[in-house]
Amino acid sequence: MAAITSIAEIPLEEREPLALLGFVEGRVEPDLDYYGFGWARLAAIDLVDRTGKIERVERPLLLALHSADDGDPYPDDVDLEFWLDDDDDTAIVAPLSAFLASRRPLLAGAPAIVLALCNPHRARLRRPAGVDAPIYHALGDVLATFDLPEGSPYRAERGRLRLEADAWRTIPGAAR
Amino acid sequence: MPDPEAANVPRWALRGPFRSVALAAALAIGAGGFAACGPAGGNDRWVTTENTNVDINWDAVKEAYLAAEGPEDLERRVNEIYEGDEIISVSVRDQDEKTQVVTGFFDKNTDGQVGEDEKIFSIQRDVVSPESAQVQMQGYGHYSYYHSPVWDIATGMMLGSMMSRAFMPSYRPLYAQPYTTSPARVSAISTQRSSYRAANPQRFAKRSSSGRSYGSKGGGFGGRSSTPTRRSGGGRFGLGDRGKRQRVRLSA
Repeated sequence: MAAITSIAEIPLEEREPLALLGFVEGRVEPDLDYYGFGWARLAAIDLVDRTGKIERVERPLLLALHSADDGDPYPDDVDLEFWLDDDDDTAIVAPLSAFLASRRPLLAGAPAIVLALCNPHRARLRRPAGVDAPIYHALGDVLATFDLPEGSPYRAERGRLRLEADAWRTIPGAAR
Repeated sequence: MPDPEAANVPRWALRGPFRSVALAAALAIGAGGFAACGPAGGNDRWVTTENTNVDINWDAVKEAYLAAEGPEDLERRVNEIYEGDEIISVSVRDQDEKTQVVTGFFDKNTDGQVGEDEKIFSIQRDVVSPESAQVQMQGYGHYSYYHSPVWDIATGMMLGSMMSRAFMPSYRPLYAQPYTTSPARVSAISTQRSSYRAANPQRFAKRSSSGRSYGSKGGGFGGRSSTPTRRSGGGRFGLGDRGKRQRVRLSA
């Protein structure tokens, strides 16, 4: 793979929702070493906080990204980490704010945006310019779970996708 | 501004078991008889409250205390036992060289302190001789009618180091300054418990306090249904293991 020299060059691909969130048919346990990333459009996803409160977000654009757990603390930003190739020992670190700014065309038309992203320093994120949809983000760790009725095909639309975190927030300034 | 709730940064951390040498001890029940009981059913080992529908398996909580290697291990064990949505915080306080009081509580106001109205249960351990102790549990709030027997702990059974330490000749109380679950730890405990529940779907078929269930979800798909549901775990969205990867930082 050619060397990536700018944030805009980081590949962000649309993926099937279950694969994007790290689910593998037949596996029950979470994958705590999962490093896949990308985006998907969902019918809905439930955001569950530590009190058990559930907020359902309809028709979101889901961005699955990874924080660098030992990244520097910022009051309003998160260091992202990308592992681009399993055979490559290189990781790219970039600030979330700059990454979102580089994806404005993808984000601008979404009715809602959900960030599947750990926020270890509990930063209160800033809204990227030109994006006025509600943007949901977590405080603390984020883990995906999936409830599927017995016997149903293993497809996202047949079950219920959840993201569990300590708390969920929306970035102020949504126009809708 | 950083979130004011973030006194410390909650981090996912896989903690390996911290196991010290455990004493062999036996558990003999009932030598002290039953404590004063509350309403009927107060000594039931399973208690279902009127208001929460969340069961607490008191025997399991007691076993968790006896097996715990320390307060954080006890937090994990107790939260794996509890079937509701809330996280149980734990306070461990050594009143003196003989008496330890463990309090389980819902830290509703996230102040990291035990509030009277937040208490769920307490466990009192009294060392009565160099080789024996007594343990008794009591419920609070919705569980206030639970009073355990007094259990005598004596040699013959494996104990976790949190308990066995009290029998060491060199024992000194570790929690004269109480240990209390930090609000910043709650996220990690919750994540760990979610993993545990996902790995044990058959255990979490009962309704939880919010009406959600674990392993047998019915009405979450647009209507009421009795269709059994499987829960599976997906990814976590942080990268904690640097391994051998060389990091390249981009700013634009």
